[in-house]
Amino acid sequence: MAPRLIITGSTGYIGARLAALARERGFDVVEFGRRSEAKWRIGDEPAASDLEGAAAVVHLAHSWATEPEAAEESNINISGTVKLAEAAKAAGVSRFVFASSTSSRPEALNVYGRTKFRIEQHLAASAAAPIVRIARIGLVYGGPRTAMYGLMAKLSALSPLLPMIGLSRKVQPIHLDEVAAGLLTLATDESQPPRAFVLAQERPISFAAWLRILRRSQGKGNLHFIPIPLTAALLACRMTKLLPLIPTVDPERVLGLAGATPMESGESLRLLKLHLADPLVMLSAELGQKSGEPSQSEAKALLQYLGSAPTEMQLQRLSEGLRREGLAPLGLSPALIKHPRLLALFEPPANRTQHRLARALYLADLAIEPERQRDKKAGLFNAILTISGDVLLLPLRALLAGRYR
Amino acid sequence: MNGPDADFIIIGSGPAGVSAAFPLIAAGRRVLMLDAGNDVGSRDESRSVRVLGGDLESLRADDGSSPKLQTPVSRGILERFQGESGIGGVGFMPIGSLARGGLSNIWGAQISYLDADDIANWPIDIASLQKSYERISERIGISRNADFKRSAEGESVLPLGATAAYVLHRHRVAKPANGSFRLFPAVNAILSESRPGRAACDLGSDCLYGCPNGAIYNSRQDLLSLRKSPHFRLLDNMRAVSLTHNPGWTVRTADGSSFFAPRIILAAGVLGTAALLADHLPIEEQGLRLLNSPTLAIPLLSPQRLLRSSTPTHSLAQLGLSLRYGDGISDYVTGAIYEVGSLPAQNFINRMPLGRNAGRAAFERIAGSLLVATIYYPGDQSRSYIHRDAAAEKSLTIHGGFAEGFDILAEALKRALRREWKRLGLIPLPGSSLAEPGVDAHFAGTLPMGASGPFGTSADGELNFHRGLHIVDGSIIPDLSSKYITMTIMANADRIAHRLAETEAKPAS
Ligand SMILES: Cc1cc2nc3c(=O)[nH]c(=O)nc-3n(C[C@H](O)[C@H](O)[C@H](O)COP(=O)(O)OP(=O)(O)OC[C@H]3O[C@@H](n4cnc5c(N)ncnc54)[C@H](O)[C@@H]3O)c2cc1C
Repeated sequence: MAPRLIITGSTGYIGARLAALARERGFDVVEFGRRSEAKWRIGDEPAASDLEGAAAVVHLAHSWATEPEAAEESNINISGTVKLAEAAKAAGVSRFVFASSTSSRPEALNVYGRTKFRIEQHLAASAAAPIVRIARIGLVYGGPRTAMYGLMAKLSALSPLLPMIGLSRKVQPIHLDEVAAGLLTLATDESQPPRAFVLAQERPISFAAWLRILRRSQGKGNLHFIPIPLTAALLACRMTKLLPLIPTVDPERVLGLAGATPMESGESLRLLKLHLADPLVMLSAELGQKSGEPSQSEAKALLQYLGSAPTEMQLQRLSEGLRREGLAPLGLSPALIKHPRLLALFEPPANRTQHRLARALYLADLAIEPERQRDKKAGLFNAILTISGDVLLLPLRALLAGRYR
Repeated sequence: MNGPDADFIIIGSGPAGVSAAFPLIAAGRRVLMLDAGNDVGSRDESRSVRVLGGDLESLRADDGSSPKLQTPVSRGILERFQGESGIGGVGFMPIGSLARGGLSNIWGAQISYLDADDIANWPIDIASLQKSYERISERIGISRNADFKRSAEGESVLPLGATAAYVLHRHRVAKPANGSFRLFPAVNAILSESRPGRAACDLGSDCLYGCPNGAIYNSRQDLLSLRKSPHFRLLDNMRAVSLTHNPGWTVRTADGSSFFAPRIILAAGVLGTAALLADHLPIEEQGLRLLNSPTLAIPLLSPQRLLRSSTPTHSLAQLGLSLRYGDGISDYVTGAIYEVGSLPAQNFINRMPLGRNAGRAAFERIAGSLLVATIYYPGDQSRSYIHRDAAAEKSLTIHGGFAEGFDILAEALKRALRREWKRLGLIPLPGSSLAEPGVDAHFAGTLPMGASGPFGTSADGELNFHRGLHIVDGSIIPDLSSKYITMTIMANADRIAHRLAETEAKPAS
């Protein structure tokens, strides 16, 4: 019989992906939730018959209904989690995985972080302690554009200028698939010790850099910020509720961004054999997918501009390179794609290595390199024409280059 | 307890490790070599894979480091070291490898020999080192660049690039004002004639991407012949993480295995060895002194060679140079001159204020008359220290720096060289740069031979107060001249292994 895995909050952002992954791996998944086969809400006493025989419980459900500073006894997240864990222990379940957060700290600014910390403490002191494994999860991204991730993706794509708080705050992203894989290992691998694991990128990056990655991977240019003070941000959050057409932002989430220190995740990742992918690469693949067509033709235009009659292999290489570097699509106009020579009007000098078009052209140049014939070069006359044309066009290009920055 | 796994365990399969293995095996000793890397990355790949990487890992935006450090082979080697060695740098670029063959997978194959003056302070004599130099050069294959007509009889030669040949000719005609400047054809560990398993240099100028012929020496090649011996065993994917004395030595590796031998030989490269010994050395307070060679790069234009055609040649060093700047024994710099025309154009174009097409046109026009000189100072001009991080117990940080007054010295050198460039008909172009400490990858002197105290080793590389623990890589080179160091590391490892093979009684088997 397939091993049984119980997942609470299985309809949520992480839960849905975890449930799908577990089923794919041959588990018999039982979903605990309001809209699932086993009717359950956090705080309910679970039916022993539901728990018995399960290999593990992964507890992802979190109720946002509790009053922020409610006393511990009346915080349903605390009491409900302990109740569920103890019931699982009593029913003979051998592992209880609790989804915590890298913001879990006694002094966290947001209620969420403080609550998660209190739950961890209560679990450690409960009868269920020997079966508990805690997963402190970083900033989850990828997959369906919902939850915090969806919000950030939307905000970052909105405009090149973004008012934002907590820009220097360090975040440790992790892809949804990686979280699901980590949780599944924790739920099923007997060799993992009962302790806290950190599921998050080892090297933290600033929140500002993170938003830039989100923007880049959606094929947009650079992102500039107007830093705003926390009080103003909280006020603005209240305003978002009143304004139509822009996403509403929960002040609680803003507070979550305002202050936190990174957590060491290297050892956990090694124990769980998780090799986290580069977020820019993952995201460009996910978000750039829809625009696969234009980026092929852009790649072709770039290669033609450099005087190559592109081979299928070079095209593939360059499209892949552009995608990975977050440069696809560049957003070249149809006229440029049709007449690549016009790129000469927009091309920035090659030493402006931060310019997107300059970087794209460098990649195109590299993509041709393996097939380049060393001794083939332009005649002297042509070379002089090209160079002097370049110099003469310089002022105009400086003006136009901004378009594809 | 079971018997030892070998008579000697050698950690590291770079130039130092293999050079120590040969004499021991020849003397019938059983050698177990552990290396953190493995055999992936074999040489018979398409050019596309060599240039861009199997997974296009080099198709990335320019990160500003030298093109040499951006090729797929380099990335594979250096990035693994950065990720797993636990060694970081502050104003210092820690270059090391966790790959079979070590840094010889990406080195420049430039060869220098030390002389009696250079080793005046070492606890050994020059004759023994010279004997080892001979054995090593015999094994790895060495050739000198020469213009065709001048090649001395019987000497192994490779063609000198046309611009380099022109400059060398000027040098011979117009003698330097004082005798302190020397210019000569470079000596490289490149084959000019094929040998079993290695083809001769085909002048394909793809040296940067790893020579597909095996003409450039790489210690992986030596492993092939070592493995033919029944006394030799190489285990891959064995990153040593701790050493314990009990008596004899136990090496534990990252995967949880452990190996035991009466004697252990460390050849993990200077940084790798420091990481392995961190627990055995009292480095808490002032840190461990590390010698490296401050390095200067100067682009040079030869106007007489503008628009002339070039000679096909390899893209490694064409000429060697040296210049004295003081009266001390080691007060000279050593350098190499490369022809830019045989290097990939992109990275030069990236530095030009022209569009890419125009940049390429310009590069192709002038590259044949462009040279780059890289110049190394001796290690006494570096001030680099390895510290242990108090917070993260296992990790080390290297703080890089230069000796006091080094900037003045560097300026004086540029001035002195300017006279010589003029004499050679060369115009130094703007854009000369001093590299961040560490980029030279010539590291030495952390545990010098002949020094007393916990940071010294015997003439046989045995770490003081640690019987049976020998070190054969650059760590024990007592002072770092400005000359290329690897040939000496190899010769010294060979010398020590010969001594060990002689003095150590062969265990009854
Ligand atoms: C770009 C570049 C160009 C260079 N050019 C020149 C040149 O022209 N001339 C010159 O003389 N020198 C040159 N060098 C320097 C030369 O490469 C080194 O001096 C030489 O490789 C040092 O040899 P080694 O055996 O001591 O160490 P390495 O080559 O670093 O080898 C160390 C070995 O130890 C293994 N290892 C490390 N740690 C462990 C561990 N914990 N457990 C198990 N195995 C371990 C590694 O996998 C590796 O195989 C260059 C270096 C670079 C990077």
